[in-house]
Amino acid sequence: MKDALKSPFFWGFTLLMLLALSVIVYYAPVERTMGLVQKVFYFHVASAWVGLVAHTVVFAASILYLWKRSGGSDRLARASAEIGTVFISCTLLTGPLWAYPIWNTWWTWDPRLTTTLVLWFMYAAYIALHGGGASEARKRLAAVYGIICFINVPLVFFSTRWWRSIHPVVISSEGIALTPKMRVAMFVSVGVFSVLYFYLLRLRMKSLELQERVRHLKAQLLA
Amino acid sequence: MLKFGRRILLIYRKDLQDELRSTDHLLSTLVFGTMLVFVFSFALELADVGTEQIFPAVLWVSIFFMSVLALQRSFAKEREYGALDALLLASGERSVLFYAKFLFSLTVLLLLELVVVPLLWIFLDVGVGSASLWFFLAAVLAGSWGLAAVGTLLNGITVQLPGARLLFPILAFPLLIPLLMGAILCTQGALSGQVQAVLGWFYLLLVFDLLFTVLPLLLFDYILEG
Amino acid sequence: MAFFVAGYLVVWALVFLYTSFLYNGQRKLEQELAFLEELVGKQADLPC
Repeated sequence: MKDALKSPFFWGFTLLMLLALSVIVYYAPVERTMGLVQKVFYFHVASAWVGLVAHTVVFAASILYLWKRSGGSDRLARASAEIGTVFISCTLLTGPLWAYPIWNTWWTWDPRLTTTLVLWFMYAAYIALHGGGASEARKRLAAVYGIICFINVPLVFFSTRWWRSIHPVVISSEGIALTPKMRVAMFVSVGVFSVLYFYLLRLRMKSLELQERVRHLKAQLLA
Repeated sequence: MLKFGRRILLIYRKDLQDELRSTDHLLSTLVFGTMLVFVFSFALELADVGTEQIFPAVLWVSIFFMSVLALQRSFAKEREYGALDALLLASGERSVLFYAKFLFSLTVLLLLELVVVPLLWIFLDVGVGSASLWFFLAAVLAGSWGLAAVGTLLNGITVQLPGARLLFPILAFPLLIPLLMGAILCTQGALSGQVQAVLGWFYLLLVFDLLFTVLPLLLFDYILEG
Repeated sequence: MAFFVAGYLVVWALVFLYTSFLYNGQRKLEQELAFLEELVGKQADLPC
């Protein structure tokens, strides 16, 4: 924790988070029927957005790894999976906090909710499979699993959508169902969360690289 | 070089012979399956739940758990005795190995279900009045097909990592969610005799099966590389 | 209000915990790396 407090980057991002918060609290209007609770939406959507981007990155990096076998693409996939899981956790936790006052239930088996939960489980499994990437086999097998997971996501989504859906659709092909001010607040929070994603990604990739070097040195010492 | 299908059949026959020669694993999985049936029906009886509505869910959860034991066999033996390289050499292509192991897993799973499904049916006291037996069998077959395909694919992954047996269900279950939904709803439709209403779910099962039967053609080479 | 604050706190806490977890790991790795590099250097000095 001390190390985090010493980093200028960390403080920069704390400031950005506060900026997003103030835009959400002061700038964005209060929704007429739902009231203040609706503002959970901004974090909820932003973290869901980052989660989806992160998992798409895992898919792309996994393909790249199987193709080029570069350590960088493996680290990218692993770091992205981890951060994506953190943000998906945020989505899964903020969702019920909005749903309870509005739907009067913490959880329902709606397509989006179910898909998000399955996504979380799949990437938790991916991280468990990858481990620290201690061997070439683990990296390769995790890459294969990352590809399978991504292909499975639409299947999960459409099967649950067929079943039932009550989740509000804010962004559809017809446009965004938000007032202009709300839209600005949403884009600000999505922007801040995206920057946060890239920052964490860089940090995690660096530590994974260090891990690799430590492992390499240990092997060298034992040889 | 032998034809693709012929090579698959040869490996499949070898595995099946081997499995039937020493039946202890098959038998203990079967005992586990019947135990599941017993525990479920006993627990449901205690809770006083309408068994007819809950039958499809219990059936597929039992099959899920049973498959965790049944589907981890495909590559285990070769790995244990270090015969994987020889088998790879003999099969020529890695996908041949996948399809042989897939057929083997499917056969084992169906053999187990042959005992467990009727038992569960009897224990839960489900009526046969309006049930469509053919559709029920088709649903079980389609569900088992997908289970065996995903299981074989993931077994190829977990068998290469020491101490990864526990990883298998963790990797498998989230992937199997669409299959679980389709299989349960199809079974429900079959029991109530309303096949038309759940036909869409049957097609979903078929799409799932097709996907995980074709995907290994592309990915299995990477799995068994080392 | 309470739900909104709870939502913000959840996001903030998760991200903060993850970031400090990263920094912590980073520091430990750097220490380990320095130690190992020193060891490797010593090993190279020794006549075999």
